[in-house]
Amino acid sequence: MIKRSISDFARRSALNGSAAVAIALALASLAVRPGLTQDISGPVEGTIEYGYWGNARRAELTEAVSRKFEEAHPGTEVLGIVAEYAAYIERLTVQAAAGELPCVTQTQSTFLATYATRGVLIPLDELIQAGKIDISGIPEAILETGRINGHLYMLPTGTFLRLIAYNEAMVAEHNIPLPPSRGDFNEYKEWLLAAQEKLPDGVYAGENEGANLFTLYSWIAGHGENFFKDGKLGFDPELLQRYFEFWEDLRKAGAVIPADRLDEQFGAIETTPLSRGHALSATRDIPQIIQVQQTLANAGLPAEIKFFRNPVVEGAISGNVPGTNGLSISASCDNIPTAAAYLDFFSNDPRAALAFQSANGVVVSKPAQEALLSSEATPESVRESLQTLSEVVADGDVATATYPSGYQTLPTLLRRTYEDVALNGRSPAEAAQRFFDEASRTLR
Amino acid sequence: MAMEQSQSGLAAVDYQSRGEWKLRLRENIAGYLFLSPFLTGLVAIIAGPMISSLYLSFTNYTAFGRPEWIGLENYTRAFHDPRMWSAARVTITYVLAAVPSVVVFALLLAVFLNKGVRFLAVYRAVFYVPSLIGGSVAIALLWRQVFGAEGLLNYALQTIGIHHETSWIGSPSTSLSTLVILQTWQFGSAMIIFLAGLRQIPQSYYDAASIDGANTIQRFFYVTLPMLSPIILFNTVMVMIGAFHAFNAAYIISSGSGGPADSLLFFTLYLYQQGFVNFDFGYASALGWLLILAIATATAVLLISTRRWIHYGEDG
Amino acid sequence: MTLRRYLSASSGPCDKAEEIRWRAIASHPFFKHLVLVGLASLMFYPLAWMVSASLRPDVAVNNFSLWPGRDFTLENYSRAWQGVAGIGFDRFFLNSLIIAVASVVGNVISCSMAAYAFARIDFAFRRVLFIVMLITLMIPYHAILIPQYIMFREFGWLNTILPLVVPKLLATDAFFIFLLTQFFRSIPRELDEAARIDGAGHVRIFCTVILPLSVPALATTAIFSFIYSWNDFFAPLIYLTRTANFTIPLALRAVGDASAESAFGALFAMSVLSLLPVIGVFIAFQRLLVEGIATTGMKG
Repeated sequence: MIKRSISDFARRSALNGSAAVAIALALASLAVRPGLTQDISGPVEGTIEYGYWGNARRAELTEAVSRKFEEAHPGTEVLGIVAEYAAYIERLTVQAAAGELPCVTQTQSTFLATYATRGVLIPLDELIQAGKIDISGIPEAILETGRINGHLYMLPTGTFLRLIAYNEAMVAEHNIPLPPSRGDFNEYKEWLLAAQEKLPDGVYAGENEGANLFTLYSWIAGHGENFFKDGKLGFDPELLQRYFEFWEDLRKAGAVIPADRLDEQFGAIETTPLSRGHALSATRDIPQIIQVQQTLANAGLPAEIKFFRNPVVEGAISGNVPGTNGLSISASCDNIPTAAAYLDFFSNDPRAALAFQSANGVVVSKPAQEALLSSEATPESVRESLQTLSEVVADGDVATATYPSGYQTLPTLLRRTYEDVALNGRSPAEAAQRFFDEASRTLR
Repeated sequence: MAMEQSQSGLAAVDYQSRGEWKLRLRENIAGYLFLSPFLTGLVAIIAGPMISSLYLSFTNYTAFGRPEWIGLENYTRAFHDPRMWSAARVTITYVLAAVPSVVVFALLLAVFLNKGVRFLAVYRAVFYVPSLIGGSVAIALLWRQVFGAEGLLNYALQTIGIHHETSWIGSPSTSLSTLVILQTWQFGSAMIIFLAGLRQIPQSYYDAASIDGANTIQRFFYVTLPMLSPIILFNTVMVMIGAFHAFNAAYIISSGSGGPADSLLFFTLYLYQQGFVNFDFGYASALGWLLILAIATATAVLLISTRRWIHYGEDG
Repeated sequence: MTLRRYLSASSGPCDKAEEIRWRAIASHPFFKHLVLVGLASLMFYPLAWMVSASLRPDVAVNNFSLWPGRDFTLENYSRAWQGVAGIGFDRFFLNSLIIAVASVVGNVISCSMAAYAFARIDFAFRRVLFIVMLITLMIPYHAILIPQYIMFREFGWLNTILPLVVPKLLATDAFFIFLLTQFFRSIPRELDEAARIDGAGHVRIFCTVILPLSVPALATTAIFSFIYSWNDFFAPLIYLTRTANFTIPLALRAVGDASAESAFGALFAMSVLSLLPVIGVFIAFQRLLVEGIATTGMKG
């Protein structure tokens, strides 16, 4: 008797289990939604969830913004869900696969396309046209980073622009000539070699950027080429080969971090050679210099960091490549009007700007920038970042950047390919070809 | 004292009587009753995802669309994939190096500590704590602090006159060894299990052996090892499975890349890259099943080849 | 007896004498402690360094010393204690505790039952099910992550602790089933027989014979369950999305995010903080690991 009911139960559970999975898979496939099916002009009320990445401090600031939003729109509630960056990406994937993304999802230009092209996020154009989200304060070049196939999937809220940071205090200490800002690549190389001669043992003129995808992007842009075209690599393999050769020459001359210490360059900012006084220069995002300076100062090392612009060849627009962080609305959102209002508030409202203090990339919308600059409570570091950014933008020294679907596979691919050259002795030409072969498979 | 492992268990019962059927039924009911939570869990929680992942391994699935049946293509692709083989090599090397180190260390220390040492509890705790820190991000910083170019090991070598300037972690030839050392450093949990096992050996066995004239070493080989053999088998199998599954340390120390030069590309890390970076879940699932196959084979080989040496107390 | 007397006890290059001398040295308490202390220091150095690093304002990474230095500070700890997004660490502690205790109870009960069946009952398909149980141990996590998530979504268990706790009640941690099976098998069957003669059925044998004799193994199961559950990061990450439901590892990782402004000191403080409860549990309960009731009645 007992035996029979146990086996019955087991059978039913088995059925339930596999039926559940079958249903789930079918449902997951329905997550591919073509467009807006909801009424976008509904009332702004109810609860929305906002998933973002960051540490405790950024969580505090984000929650402050959410509270201000709730004040501005009574009857709404914003539930923030925070995770650390790497964990955030993993969770994002799992939730997206199940169609369980929070209404408002933080995204980044580097991985936006991967999700946008698969129907996980909704295009914001309709909402913009209906006046729900105001994008007038954001420069066109920045907005472009949020566009996939002509539709805007992410509202950019903060930008990180890669420039070359150098330790000015060390330059003064060792009587090194100042680096060439927006010089050409030969001048950059010469500067590194000349600086190395004056530096003590154990300190290198630069970090080894051969494995760094962002720097490769600057190289391509600085040579006037497009990194991507139609979702594929848009430049010649020979340019990549020359990139490897550039950094290999420097490595063999002892002017950059050696090959067995490449791993120190990845990971937390405080552990990188620039932050520990082992390297004189390295590419960094504008807001990152604060951490670098702090780490150096705490260790009693020379701690004055300045930027110079990426090198360019004659005729190229710029070697400074922007990336952006922003907000998106997920396709499974059930409260689009409130989500849209939150996006608009976060981006444009002065109260939001003051509460958030530009904690995730330099703020890009004009109203937000003005609010921060005019307020006395804004810390000096934020002010400096804003100023650096506006100077660069004003000079027009910003390259346009696109990030197609599959972009997120490239950083590891480049690192592996360069390691092959530097540690295994593979020829730059062959390595460049291998990079292209693999990239063509993963960019989809 | 060689004993054969009894397979049927209830050897003493006479199956030739009419009560045999009734006995069998009673045993089956009892067995399944005791097993009911496990069976429920197996069916309701494990079977679904397992079957799903097996199904997905025969498809092309990017996690956001419909899975598309492609038969054995993922598997053939794996066999022609040089990185898959490279990952397999890394994992197998790691298993062959780490498992004996951990098990032997844990066993020796457990035996050593079991003899009764002052401050036993302190030593036990100190040896165990490293295995608690395993998945933490701090491990990468800690390990670089010891094995980096300017780390403790190079510093110590320098004080005895050996100049080693390169990073042990950043060089492809030595990076895996640092992870084997990391795993060995975490032998504590296996040691705890051995200690528990040692405690269950009746003192009377040792006494009987002493009476027969056995010395310490002979007692170790004729009483301790056989009585502990089920636990030794357990630890070896579990440490081996754990080594096949090793992920966290490699992920954290290589920042997810498997570098330098794929020297830390453990099989599970490669699986992760294919699934969560390249969004090729069909391929990742196939890799997962290949891993299960490899582990199952290794485990079967281990269990079968050591069958004669494992002595279960149930055989008196 | 001093070491020197041991060393001079041998009279000549005779095998037996050498052996006696060597064994004497090896078993002398001083030598034992030397080896143990040496090994323990080596093992403990990384952790000790981490603790001292967490007490510095921000780390000069080249500093190998274990002394925190003049700038000794508890700031990293106070930052950690403040918690995340307005929710303090006491809440996270409670969340972790509830889940861990439930896991321990679930595992100990369901896994010991299953282990008893495998070790002591001869039922149909026992070998097959044992092999199936072993195979469930071999599944790599990332391969079933998404199907499992979707399945729990179908059950309606997202954003609750159910996906973390219910599987433990259903003996899905085959590690412990295997462990306990091996331990149960080393218990002599004579004791079972004795109880059977007294008229005991399986349930009584389980409760009165097997369980009491397996206290070390059960204690191991309980302690390891607690620790695995406490340290688990990824499952809570995807199943507990409300910050108020976070467990400690989740909260600590959020505090020490490397992509936003993080600080070494804070990161190490986090690790130390997350280690303290598990070490505490271990120390509190480790006596149980070694208290085995020596079997009596086993005459040679």
